[in-house]
Amino acid sequence: MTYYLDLYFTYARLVLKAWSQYRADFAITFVSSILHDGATFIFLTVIFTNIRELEGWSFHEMLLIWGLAVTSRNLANSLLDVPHRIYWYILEGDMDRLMVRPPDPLFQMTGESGITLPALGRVLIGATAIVTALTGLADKLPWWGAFYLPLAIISGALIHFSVQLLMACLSFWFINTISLMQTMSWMYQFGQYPISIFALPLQFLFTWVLPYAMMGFYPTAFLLRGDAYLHYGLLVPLMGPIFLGLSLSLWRVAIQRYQSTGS
Amino acid sequence: MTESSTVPIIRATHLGKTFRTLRRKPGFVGAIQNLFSTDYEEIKAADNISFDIEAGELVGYIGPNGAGKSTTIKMLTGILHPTAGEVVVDGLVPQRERVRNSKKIGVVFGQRTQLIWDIPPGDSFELMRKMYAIPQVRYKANLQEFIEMLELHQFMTRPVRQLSLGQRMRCELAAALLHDPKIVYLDEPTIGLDVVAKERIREFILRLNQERGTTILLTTHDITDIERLCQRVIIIDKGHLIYDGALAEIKRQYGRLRRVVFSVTDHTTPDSLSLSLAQIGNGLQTQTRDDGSVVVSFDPQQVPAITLTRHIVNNYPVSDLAVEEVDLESIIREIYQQGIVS
Amino acid sequence: MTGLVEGLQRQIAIAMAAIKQELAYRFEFFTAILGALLMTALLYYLWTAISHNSTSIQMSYQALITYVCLGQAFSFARPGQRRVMMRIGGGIRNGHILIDLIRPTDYQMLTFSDTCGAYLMETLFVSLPSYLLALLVFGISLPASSQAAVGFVVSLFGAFFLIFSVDFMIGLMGFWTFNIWGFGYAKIAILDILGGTIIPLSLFPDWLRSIALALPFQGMAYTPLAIYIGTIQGNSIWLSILNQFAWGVGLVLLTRLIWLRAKRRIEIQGG
Repeated sequence: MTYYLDLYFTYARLVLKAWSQYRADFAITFVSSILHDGATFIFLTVIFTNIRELEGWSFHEMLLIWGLAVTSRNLANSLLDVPHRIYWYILEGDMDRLMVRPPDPLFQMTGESGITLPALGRVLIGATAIVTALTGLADKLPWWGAFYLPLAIISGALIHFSVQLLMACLSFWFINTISLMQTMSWMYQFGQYPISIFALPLQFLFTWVLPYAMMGFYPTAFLLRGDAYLHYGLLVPLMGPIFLGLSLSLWRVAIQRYQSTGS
Repeated sequence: MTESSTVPIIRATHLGKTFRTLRRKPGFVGAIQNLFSTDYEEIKAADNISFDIEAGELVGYIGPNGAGKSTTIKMLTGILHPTAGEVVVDGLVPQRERVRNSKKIGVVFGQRTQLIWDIPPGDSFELMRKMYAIPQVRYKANLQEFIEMLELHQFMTRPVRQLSLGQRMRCELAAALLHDPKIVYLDEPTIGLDVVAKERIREFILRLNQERGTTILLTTHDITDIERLCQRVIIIDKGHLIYDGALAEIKRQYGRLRRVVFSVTDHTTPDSLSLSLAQIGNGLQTQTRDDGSVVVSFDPQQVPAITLTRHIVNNYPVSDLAVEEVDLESIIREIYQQGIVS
Repeated sequence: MTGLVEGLQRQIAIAMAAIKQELAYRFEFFTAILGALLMTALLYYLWTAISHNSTSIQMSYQALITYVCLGQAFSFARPGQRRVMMRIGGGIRNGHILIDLIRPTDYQMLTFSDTCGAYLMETLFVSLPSYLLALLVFGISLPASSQAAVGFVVSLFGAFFLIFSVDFMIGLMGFWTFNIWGFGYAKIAILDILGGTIIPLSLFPDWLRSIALALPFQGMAYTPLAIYIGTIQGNSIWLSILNQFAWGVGLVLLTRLIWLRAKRRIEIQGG
């Protein structure tokens, strides 16, 4: 275990060193992602200048949903920024290079992607949103929230990573997946609103199949509405590991296939 | 635990690889159809390849492009699963024990770099140290030795992207060897390099093989590489192994051949040439090159050069003529073309 | 005169080539429609919920839904930009741009015609199907009037013109930095808000609305959409379109300036 941790941090240090040479690019990406999040935040605020509550959810509650979703998602994107790169590794023949080295290829790819700093910045933005929301909801928070929220965030990050990995694995079987993946990459937005506003099929889709709702909505709902969402709320910390297991299994199968077909 | 010195370090037995690819239909409807189609075509990239390589050998693994070289190498290194036969490398089946096998081998890809691009090679070496869990003492010793042998000290602190191809290749070699692999696969290590750089790399490879007894499998298109380095060559063509033996043997069999190269000022056909030449002796082969010149290969022991030359000059309008030794390159090309060694 | 005709023929040829290429990407259109559909669904349900919860929104529910769904169907922001950015950014990266520069055509025109073909294909194969789906599935309205319909189509050209300029500018950034994708995402985000793609500008608080109306972004989404649903009526339609083209010309000049500097940079750096 220490082997892997040590190796991961060695990678991270080196990749960071490599990036420090491209400061302009880094700054631009950083600013762009802040603009992106800022835009969504403005969206939320503007909506709430026109309404008081959305299906019974107040502004601060919505902010918490959004904050949790952003934090989880970008936690995954900063530390585990791998799935969307898998396609390029295969295309450029870089997979072979990884396969002849001891560590698992997925781990190597994770290492080589380093720690994506702009995403880390967005984690901060998400955290700020969470804190702001919490201060506005101070009187409604249960004591166990302090333990639950970090769990939910970690599980959410795992969900996000796993769903992307699942989709990336498809590129081992179907060639044209890159546009599909890009389209699907926007779908996380479904988890940033109360799930009840969507038609039932969509609710099902984003709760059980692409559980983005588990990243923002359900943790918030459970935290603030307790019993009504008990089952979902307890499921939240489990969904992450479950989907991680699923995606890693699919990854194994995908590697096997790579070894059979060489492409 | 002593290893028996009679067991080859690499043993490939009836190795084969057949690729099944979907016959892909074009267009949108086709894309949907492709999802459900079972219309496959089979491509035999490698067929019935068997060889044994002993520890410490330096073997050249050559063949024309698309011959199946990289497919075989991938099977040896554990990247691909064979569809037939099996391969055992130092007691392990690479596909089944990828991790253990990886620790024993080193691979240098001529076209792809394993170094991190924007930082000095030393940092990538450090990564290797962590990755292969090389003991600090051993690491330092190896690093020192490689820096000396490959003369890396001049540019150890420069980012890899600023290095010339030759400099980078030297670093790649070092990176692949830091963990004392028993077997090293070199895929086109001299490609794109200038003559001086190539020679440096070759010297290093030789030293590596001689001083450390590392088994080396070399894939290359460069004939001089082969001549300088390989005592043994394995030639692959169209998925089949067509030659496995000492380089000296090839040269002996083919080396004594000579060629007469000449141009004719009229359109004498090679056929009429062959016919008339057949009258002077055996073993004469006629070919026309793309530039219109005619090549006659012959065995001087069967037909003396002077006899052949005189016959040609006397009977045909020759504009210029030369007698050449057959070089290794042409021999190999001919082996590729003929597919079998007579 | 013949020079002009020749030039036109050349541009058309370039556009045709782009069309052929896009046709090869039919699967991508399918996924683009899928994506548009899902995003439309999201916004549809979201705005339905917002509408239910509000008493103070000036727009009628029907108009709101139509606006938002239409915005997703005709969102030039996402698909087209990839092509422009890839063309310029990729062209810089692999040196292809030098070949384009050698050609007798002006580079900006070249990219424009090339993108025209791509935009056309996307309109036909993505926007129109998405629009039809929105009509059938989400029950959005038809244009407010025949004048609105005509105005909408004309204003789409204006929007396309504007968006191209912005995309081209972003692509040009590739001459100074490596990574222009960040710009791309930021552009989508800004466009979504200040362009009024996901929120009609009429719903903005006054201070934000005045900012948005002073910028060119409104022409990329709000103008055509507002014309369609009738928020902008009568003579205002043509005024708005004029505004679009005015900004369009301004942006083209700006990109021209940037382009000239970029060209000089190539000449100095030699690729």
